[in-house]
Amino acid sequence: MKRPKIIALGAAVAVSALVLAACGGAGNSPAHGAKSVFNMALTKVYQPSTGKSNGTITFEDFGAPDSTDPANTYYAANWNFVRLYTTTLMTFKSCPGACGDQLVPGLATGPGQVSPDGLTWTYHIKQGLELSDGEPITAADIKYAVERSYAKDVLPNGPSYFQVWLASQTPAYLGPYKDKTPGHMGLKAITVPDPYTIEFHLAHPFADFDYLATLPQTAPVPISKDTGAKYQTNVISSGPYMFQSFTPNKELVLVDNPHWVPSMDTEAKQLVSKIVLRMDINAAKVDSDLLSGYAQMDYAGAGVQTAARAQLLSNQALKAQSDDPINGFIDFIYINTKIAPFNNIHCRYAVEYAANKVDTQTAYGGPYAGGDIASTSMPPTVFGYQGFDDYNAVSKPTGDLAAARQQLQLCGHPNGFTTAIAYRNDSPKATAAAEAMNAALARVGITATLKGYPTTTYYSDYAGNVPFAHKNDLGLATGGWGPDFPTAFGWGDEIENGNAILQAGNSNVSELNDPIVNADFAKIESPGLTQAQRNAIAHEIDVEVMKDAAFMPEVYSKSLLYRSPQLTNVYVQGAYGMYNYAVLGLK
Amino acid sequence: MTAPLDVPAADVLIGTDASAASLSGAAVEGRSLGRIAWLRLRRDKLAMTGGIVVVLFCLVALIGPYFVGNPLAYHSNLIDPTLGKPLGPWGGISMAHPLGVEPVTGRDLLARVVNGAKWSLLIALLATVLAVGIGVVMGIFSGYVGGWADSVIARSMDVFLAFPLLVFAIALIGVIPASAHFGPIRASGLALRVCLLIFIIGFFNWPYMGRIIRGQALSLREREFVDAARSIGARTPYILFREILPNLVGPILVYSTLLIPANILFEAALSYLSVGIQPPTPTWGGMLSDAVTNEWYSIDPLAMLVPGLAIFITVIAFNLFGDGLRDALDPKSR
Repeated sequence: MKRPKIIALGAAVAVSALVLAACGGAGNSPAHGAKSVFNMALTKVYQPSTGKSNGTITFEDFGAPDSTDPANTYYAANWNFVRLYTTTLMTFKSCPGACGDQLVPGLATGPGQVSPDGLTWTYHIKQGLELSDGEPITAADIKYAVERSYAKDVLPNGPSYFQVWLASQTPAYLGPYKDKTPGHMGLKAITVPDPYTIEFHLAHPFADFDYLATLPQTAPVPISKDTGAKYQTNVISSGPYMFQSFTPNKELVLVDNPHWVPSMDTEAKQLVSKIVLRMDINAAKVDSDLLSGYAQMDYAGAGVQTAARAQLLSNQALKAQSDDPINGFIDFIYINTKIAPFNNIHCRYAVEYAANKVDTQTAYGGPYAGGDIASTSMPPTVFGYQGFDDYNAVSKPTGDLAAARQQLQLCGHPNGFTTAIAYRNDSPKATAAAEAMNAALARVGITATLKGYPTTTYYSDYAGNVPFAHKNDLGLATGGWGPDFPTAFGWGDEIENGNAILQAGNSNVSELNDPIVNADFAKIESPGLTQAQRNAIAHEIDVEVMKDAAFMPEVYSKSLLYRSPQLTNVYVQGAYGMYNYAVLGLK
Repeated sequence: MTAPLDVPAADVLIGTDASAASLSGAAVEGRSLGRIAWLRLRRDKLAMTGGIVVVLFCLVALIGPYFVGNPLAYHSNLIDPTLGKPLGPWGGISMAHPLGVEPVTGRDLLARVVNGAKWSLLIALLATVLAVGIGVVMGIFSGYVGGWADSVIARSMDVFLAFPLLVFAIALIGVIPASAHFGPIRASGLALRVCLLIFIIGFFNWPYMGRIIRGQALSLREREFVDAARSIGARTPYILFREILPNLVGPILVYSTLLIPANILFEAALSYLSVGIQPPTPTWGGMLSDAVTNEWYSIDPLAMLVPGLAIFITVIAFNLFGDGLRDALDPKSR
């Protein structure tokens, strides 16, 4: 009874979208139906609809989520996916492209109110929200959820921002499972003056705190239902869907959450009756299932494999069903500023000029699956990004060998030198990129021996282990990085700040310790700055890091995604660099 | 000098080999064991084909690298960057690149497979020499001396045979240092890795050879010519290397030829698991691994076929030749 009407409404929305597109100068596109175009979901909603269906959306994953527990996960795809069954204090606005980088309240009534000293952030929580077990959502549930992120012995995978930024106490708080206070509410840095107000007390000002309020770790967890490491098998939902069944490494089934109030959560939608996530499916099979319509979404959101890429790009109809967003990652080469001869900046310049950006781009998968040739240390998705090209990466993409030889002369090695390049040898793309770098540098006489190490211990034991890197002369190292949130601090603090250098598990592999950069990172989070001022600092960091030649950026990474024609409300959300999973519906 | 060498051979020839026996008796008298074996081998067409292919591949590995292009040079102009696929039909086959070019990098496939032959064959051959060397010395000693020395060596062979070789090889290569000193010689990078690969493959294969040699030595030490040498006061080393060893040339040759293809496959497996020779140096296993892990087979099957066929042809040629050699040297085992 209700369905035809709703479908008609959906069609009306689609038509109006088309009319708008036509007004915007789309030209003489056919009048009937919304025509699918390559990359359309980067800026527009594909098949917008509010129609509810009894169908099932099937996600497939070549692996499995690190955890379905919102406190125990650190993958962009999973942060995107958990919004189906959790709501966080703040969240990203559900809209296409850069619009989706904006912060909007989730459980909170508005953005955090910060005290003048920048040390206390207060959120008020919407009243009338319920968990899937029928209990009201209160500030205590959120405080308890954040406390869980301290229990690294039980839930090791999630980020550690709250431990780092919230005020510490003695003895150190070790999570609710070791918390002897009544009600396990012993974390002093979070106070709950009334059931609908929560206050975070910080050790240092952190202007990006609203981004921390978007972390899955702020999704409410009722203390009575917490089963520690086993909680991931039956997460109590605060989002549009809730757990029906969960078989680890096999299948997760979500169904409608009757206690979710659509009018109080405008950033998520409940348009289908079931969502299934199938795990451990061969990556090539995920692609073929998508193309055949057996599954509707690739959970990992990192793009199709080689065979499907050839199919999508060589068939015009399939290409029109594809999107190729910049996903926020940069693939780059770390140039170690402390290992000879790279302690001489001219030797670092020589690498910047000698690199063959086209070959590395092809190694990463070409202009569609690999990415755009990069020339900055920050991706275009970070606030404050402005393009610039210090080393002719874009203007002379195959390398500027004359400039490289000149720099080698200045560095005192006119005929080149010998160094080593570390790479992750279980990653075919990293291997190919390291090989391409080796071949490019050989053109000016630089011999870079390839040294492969396993991904799991790459940062703890090898490239990110400072004594090991120095002992083995790892002047160059392949790397890739994506921000947890799209600000200069979220992007660069770990990899560019001299104060973040660790002896092992080091992400600042270049060992860049530039006082200007360090000071900028300290300044950018101080209270009272306008967005324009913070953008200016972000740009200054980017320029300074490139001037130091501590990174040789390769590509602004892109993912070639297939957009299933069975789905409605499909678009790429800037904050995740993939389709927004929280709003999908079925045709 | 060692009379027994000729007598049993003549027995064998006349007693068992019908075709050889049909030759005139006078002609047979004058032939050495080696010449008889060679005549038999020449009549085995499969073995001769295998042998010719082996010689050809060895020649290619030895002098081929001087005739092909640079296996490391990128040719991005021959690659469609969108798909990483070589431009043109059949994986970009042209006069300059007779087998086409590798996807993504545009490196010449012929140059890579020929240079790969150099490394694959070098490692397999030297590893075989090492395995045979250790195996023969230990086997002869163990079989001839007997007693507690035999017990120790035979048990240690069992230990080696029970070893999870692949796991051990992966672990050992994983901790390889940047450089190492062997007395006055300092090795690093590629040279060190090649030495280590030869050592691992060779050192863990010696018991196979050792067991065979030990069995042969056990039976040979009871023979009259050994007794005779002992009775005139010959020392043990003399008996081992001048009396027993010449009688073992046949099995040593045969099992060496059969060990080589096994070692080629083992080196390819290590390269495939990315613990062999590091890129960008080409090896057959590494090329195969690249083609599989990057899914090149879906866009350019040649990238997988070329190294795959190289391994296949070499291994089958060595096996055919080894089988033929065994039949020629020891017709009783047929």
